[in-house]
Amino acid sequence: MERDERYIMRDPPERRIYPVTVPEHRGDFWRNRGISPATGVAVGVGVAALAALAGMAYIRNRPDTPRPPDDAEPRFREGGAWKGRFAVAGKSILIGKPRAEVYAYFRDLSNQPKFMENLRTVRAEGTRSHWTFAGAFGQEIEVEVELTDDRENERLAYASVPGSPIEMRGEVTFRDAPAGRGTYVEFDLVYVPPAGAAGRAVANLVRRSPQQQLRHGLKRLKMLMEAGEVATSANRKENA
Amino acid sequence: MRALTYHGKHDVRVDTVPDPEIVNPRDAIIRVTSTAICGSDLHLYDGVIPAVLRGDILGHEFMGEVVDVGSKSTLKKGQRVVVPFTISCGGCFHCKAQQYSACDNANPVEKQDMSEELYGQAMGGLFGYSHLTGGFPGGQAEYVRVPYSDIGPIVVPDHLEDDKVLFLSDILPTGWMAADNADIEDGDTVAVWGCGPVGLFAIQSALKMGAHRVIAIDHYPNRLALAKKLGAEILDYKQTDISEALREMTGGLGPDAVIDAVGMESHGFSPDTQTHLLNISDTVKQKIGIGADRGGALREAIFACRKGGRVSLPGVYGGFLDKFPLGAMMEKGLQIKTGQTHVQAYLKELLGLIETGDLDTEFMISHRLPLEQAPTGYKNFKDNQNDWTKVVLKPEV
Repeated sequence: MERDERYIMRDPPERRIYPVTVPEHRGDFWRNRGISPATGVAVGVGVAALAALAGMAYIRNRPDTPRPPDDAEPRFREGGAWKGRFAVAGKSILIGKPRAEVYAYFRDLSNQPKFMENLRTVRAEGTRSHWTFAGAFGQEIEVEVELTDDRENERLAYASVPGSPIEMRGEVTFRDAPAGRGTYVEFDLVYVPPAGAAGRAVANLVRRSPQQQLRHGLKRLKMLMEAGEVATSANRKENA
Repeated sequence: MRALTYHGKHDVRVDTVPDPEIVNPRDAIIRVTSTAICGSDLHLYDGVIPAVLRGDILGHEFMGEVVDVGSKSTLKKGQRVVVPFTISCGGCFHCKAQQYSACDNANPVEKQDMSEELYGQAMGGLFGYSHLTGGFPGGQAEYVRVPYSDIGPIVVPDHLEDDKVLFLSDILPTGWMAADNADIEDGDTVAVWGCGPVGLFAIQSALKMGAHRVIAIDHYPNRLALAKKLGAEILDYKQTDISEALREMTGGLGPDAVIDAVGMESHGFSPDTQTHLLNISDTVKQKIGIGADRGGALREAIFACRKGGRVSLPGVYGGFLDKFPLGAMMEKGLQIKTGQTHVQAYLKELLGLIETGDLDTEFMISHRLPLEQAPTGYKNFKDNQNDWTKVVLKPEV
C-alpha cells in the first residue's frame, strides 16, 4: 500500500540560531552622561511632590458647587468639642420607653448623678437645684442651677446661676420615635470646665472629650431606663 | 476560686482569682458544673482577637447551679441552669426584636467605644470574649457572675445530665441559627464548610429542617466521619476540588445554601482554586499583624453557591477581610445572613428537641477533663483537631 506523504511524521527541522545583539544597559546610558541613579530618583521624587502640592492647591481653591443645607443635625456642624473656653457637646439617643416616662425620670434631677459623669449629687428645691461635681483633683465643686424651661414631656433647659464656679447650660428635648420604638432624647450641653485650660488639657489627654462624656452619659441613661441598671463587667462591688 | 486565665498567645493558665459576688440587682452567681472550650476560644488562644488582656478569665459555654441571686433576679438558689454566652438586657430595641446578641445595654459604656469605632455600632456583651464585648469574666471557672440573669439562663430538668444540655449555651443554638439563616426549602442541597462542633450541629439542624441533602467539607478524617454519621455526604478538600465537586453533585446548579462554619482562621492553601491561593496572603497578613481574618472558606463558599442562593455565616470574623468576592456575591444575586447567635431566642425550642431525643448533643464530645487541665485541653484542641473534637471541663473533678 502506498503511503500518503502528508501523514508521515517527521522530525521537526533543526532550529537555526540567529546572533542576538544585546542593547546598551539603561543605567549605563545615564552614567555615561554623568548623572547618578540617586540623582534621578531625587529628581523624580521632587517632581512627584510638586505635582501633589499643585493638585492640593487646585482642590482647595476650585469653586465649590453651591449646596443647600442638608438635614444633618446642626450640632454636627458645631463640631461638638471646644469653642474657646466653652465645651460644647450634643448627642441624641433612642430610649425604648414612652416619652412621659423618660421625661419624668429626667425631670427628677436627683437621678442625674446616676448617669452623668463627674456629677456626685443633685438636691432640688422647686426650680432651683444644688449640684455637686467631682473636681479634677479630688475636690468637690458646688454649683447652683436654675431650671430655665420646663415643658412637660417636651423640653427641659437649665443654666448655672451667674457667679457659679462652673458656667453651664443644658437643654434636653423629648420626641416620640416612630412605631412604638420609644423616645428620642436630644441633649445639648455647653459649659466651661473647671480648672480652665489645665482641666481641658487633662480631659483631652484621657480622651474624656465633652462629646464622649455626654455619649457615655446618655448610654447610661438608656441602660437605666431599659434595663434598670448600669452594665458592668466587674466581678466584685469594689471594682464596679 | 480557680479559673482559666489568658496570659498571652498560646499561654493560658489556671490561676486563683477572687470569687465573684452580686454587683447589680439582676445578677446571679452560678457555681459551674460543666464548661466547654469553644472553637472560637481558639481565636483568643491564637491571639487573633483584639483586646484580650492578661488575666482575663476565658470561657463562654457553661452551666451550673445558682448559688446566689440579686434582688431582681428571677432565679432561685439551687436551680440548675444553662447560661447563654450572649448577655442580653431584654428591654432594648434589639432584645425586643429577638436579636439578643445585638443588645445595646450589656456591654459596659466605657467598653463600647472600641467596637463603635471598629464596626460603626457597639457590640453586645459576651462572657469571656475580649474587652470588645465587655470584658466579662468567663465561664471556665468555678463561679461566674451572670448579669441580667432573669433573661438569659434557662432552667434545665434534673433528669437531663450536663453533657446533654451544656451546648445550649452556644454551639447548639449557633449551629441551629446557621441552618435557620440558610432559609432551607424543599429539595435544597446545603453545603457546610467546617465540621467542628458548630458545623456538625449545623449539619444536624439542616437535615432536621428538611434539607434534601447536606454536603460537609473539612480535611480532618475524624470530623468528616462524625458528619457522615449524622447523614451528610462528605468532601475532603485535601483530595477533592470542592467547587468542581459541588457543581458535579448538583448537576451544575451549585448548592442552594452554603454555611461557613469555619471563620477567620481557615486552613487550606492548595493551589488548585483561586480561593485557596488568596488565603496565603491573608495568612501572611495575620502573622505580621496587619489583617485579622483568613477568608479561604468564605470565598470558596460564595464561589460555590448557586445563583440566587443563600450564604449563612456563623463563623467568627473580626476585621477587614480583603479580596472579598463581592462581584460573585452581586452578579449571582446571593443573600447573606450572619451574626453572633441570638441564643435566648432558640433555647426553649432546642431544650424541647433534646428532651424528645430529636437532637443528639453528646456525640461530638471527645474529651472530659478537670478544669485544672484546661491548658492541656486548649493545646490539644488546637494542635490535634482530628482527635480532639470537643473538650468539656469539669471544675468539680
